[in-house]
Amino acid sequence: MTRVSTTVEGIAASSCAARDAASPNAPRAGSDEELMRFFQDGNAEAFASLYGRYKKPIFVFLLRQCKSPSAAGDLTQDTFTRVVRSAGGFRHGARFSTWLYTIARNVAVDAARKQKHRDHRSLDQPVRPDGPALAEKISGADPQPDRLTTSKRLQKDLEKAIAALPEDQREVFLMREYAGLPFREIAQIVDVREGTVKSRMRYALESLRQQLCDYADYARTLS
Amino acid sequence: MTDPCRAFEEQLLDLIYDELVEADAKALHMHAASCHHCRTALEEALMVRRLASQLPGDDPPKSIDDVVLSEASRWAELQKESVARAGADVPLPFAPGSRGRPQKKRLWVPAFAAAALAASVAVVSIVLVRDAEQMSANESPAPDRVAMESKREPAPPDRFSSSPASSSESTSFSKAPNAPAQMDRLDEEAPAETPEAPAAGSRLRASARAPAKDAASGSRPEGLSKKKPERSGLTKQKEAASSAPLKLERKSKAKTENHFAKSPPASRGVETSGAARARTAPPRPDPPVTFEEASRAYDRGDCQTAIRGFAPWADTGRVDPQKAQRALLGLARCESRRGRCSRAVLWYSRLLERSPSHPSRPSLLWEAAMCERKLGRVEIAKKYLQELTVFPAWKKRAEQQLRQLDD
Repeated sequence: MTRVSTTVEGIAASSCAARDAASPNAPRAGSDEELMRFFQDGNAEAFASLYGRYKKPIFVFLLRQCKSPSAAGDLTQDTFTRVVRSAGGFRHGARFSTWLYTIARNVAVDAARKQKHRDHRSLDQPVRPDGPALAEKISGADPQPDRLTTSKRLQKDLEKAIAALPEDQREVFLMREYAGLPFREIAQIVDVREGTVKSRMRYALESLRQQLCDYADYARTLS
Repeated sequence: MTDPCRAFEEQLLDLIYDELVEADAKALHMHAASCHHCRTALEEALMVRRLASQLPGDDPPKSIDDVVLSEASRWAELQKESVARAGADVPLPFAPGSRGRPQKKRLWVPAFAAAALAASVAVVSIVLVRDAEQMSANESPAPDRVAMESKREPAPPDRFSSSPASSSESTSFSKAPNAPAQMDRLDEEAPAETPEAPAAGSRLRASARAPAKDAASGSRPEGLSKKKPERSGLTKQKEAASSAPLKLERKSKAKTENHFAKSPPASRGVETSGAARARTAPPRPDPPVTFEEASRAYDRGDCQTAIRGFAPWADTGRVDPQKAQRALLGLARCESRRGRCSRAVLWYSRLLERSPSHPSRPSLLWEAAMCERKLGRVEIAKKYLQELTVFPAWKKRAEQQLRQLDD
């Protein structure tokens, strides 16, 4: 996954590390597309290698989309199961990452649609009109926020800020920032023009900048 | 903004995500060094990236590994087997250097075979059904059919459809081709009279759907094949139903309740021929939904099943008040969820009336008011909202809504 930006730590980097830790029987050399071709020839180890590369980025992408670890786990499983079942249809002219994220995005969209239909109140639960929003509960319910380190507070606020992004901006941000996909590839996945992708990304970054402006000093210490 | 600044702004994203060639990136950095505005923009964008990198990379649950990898192994084994079956003289699918998608090509054969088989089965079944119809037409009617016929007066061909309440069977079967039209109308009108209407309407819908399926599948019930309703009769029936929805609703409710218990006339007619009956069996009715199943359906958002399960419990207040309350609430929210406010308000009003101290009364009042507002019945909505102002937690919101309604 050479396209993962080296300036971003964490997920993208760990996905690269996962490639190195792939099964010894798997074909080491080659790109994702080559591994996919081996898998299409019946080499399950090749898929294990691909899975090792992408399971974490895909999980994180889906986690930030659906905001529930257990649901994200299910969706990750669903994504890779779909990849396996439709492996025969993978065209070698296409990039594997584009194809994979397209499937993951479709899985996320389907899940969101189902969740929308399920998302109604319990029969026993009255509505509180003046209650806090869910996002506020996540960050504000902590009884002693001053005990948290800046880093932990940042993580919470960052999660909240990403969750608050509009869906189209959020998916673009996640694919570019954490999955390391180039803008052109994201444009193919979300089926819009590259300019639109960049526009959404600009809005997303601006929104995050405004929400995280309290951490400007902390950000300088990170550089 | 100068041209270099505009160019900088356009390429800023490419710059911070390393998507520029080195020369272009260098040029932009040089510009940023001399332009305060662009330097600030770059620093802010990089700040967001640095902060974003602090988000921990959560690990996916280990449990999915086994599922995914075993699925992959299975698929790979199948792929290997298919390669082996193809034989040595056939080029290996996706072998290094090969092009094309042989797996897709192979799928053509079974798909085409299945389509051909399905077509031939359809043709044979149509022929058999026609034979059965001819046979049963030549035979004498079954005793129960004779009894049923004798109870009715000789009627014109459109008798079945002329009266909406003549019999449950005739109501449901004679209107099969036009059932959807009537269902829509019932959805709109019947609930306006009485809260039973939604349940009756849904049951009527279920009963109306069954013969429609028959008609669609080509295995038309004999009752229909012999006495086809005329269009004028259907029109009459629609008019009668729309002029007296309460009457229709009551009668159709009573009859459709027994609809699934009785075998419809079509199936009775078919009884004259055992083989034909087996081939033209009526569609199986939906199984009954228990209260618990309805509750679970509600929880997972399956409103249709929930409504089916809750409907019989809505009138059991004396037997089991708690279940009746929950059923009414479930019905109200499901109908509201499905956008059928005219039905939802009936369930809401009944629940509010029966349970003045319901723990969710404020939210019920609010939801009922919103439904009434959607229906354009502002006065009733206001009444609910005024009651809502008694609850301190809701006062502000209710008053705000009242002001909006006044405007």
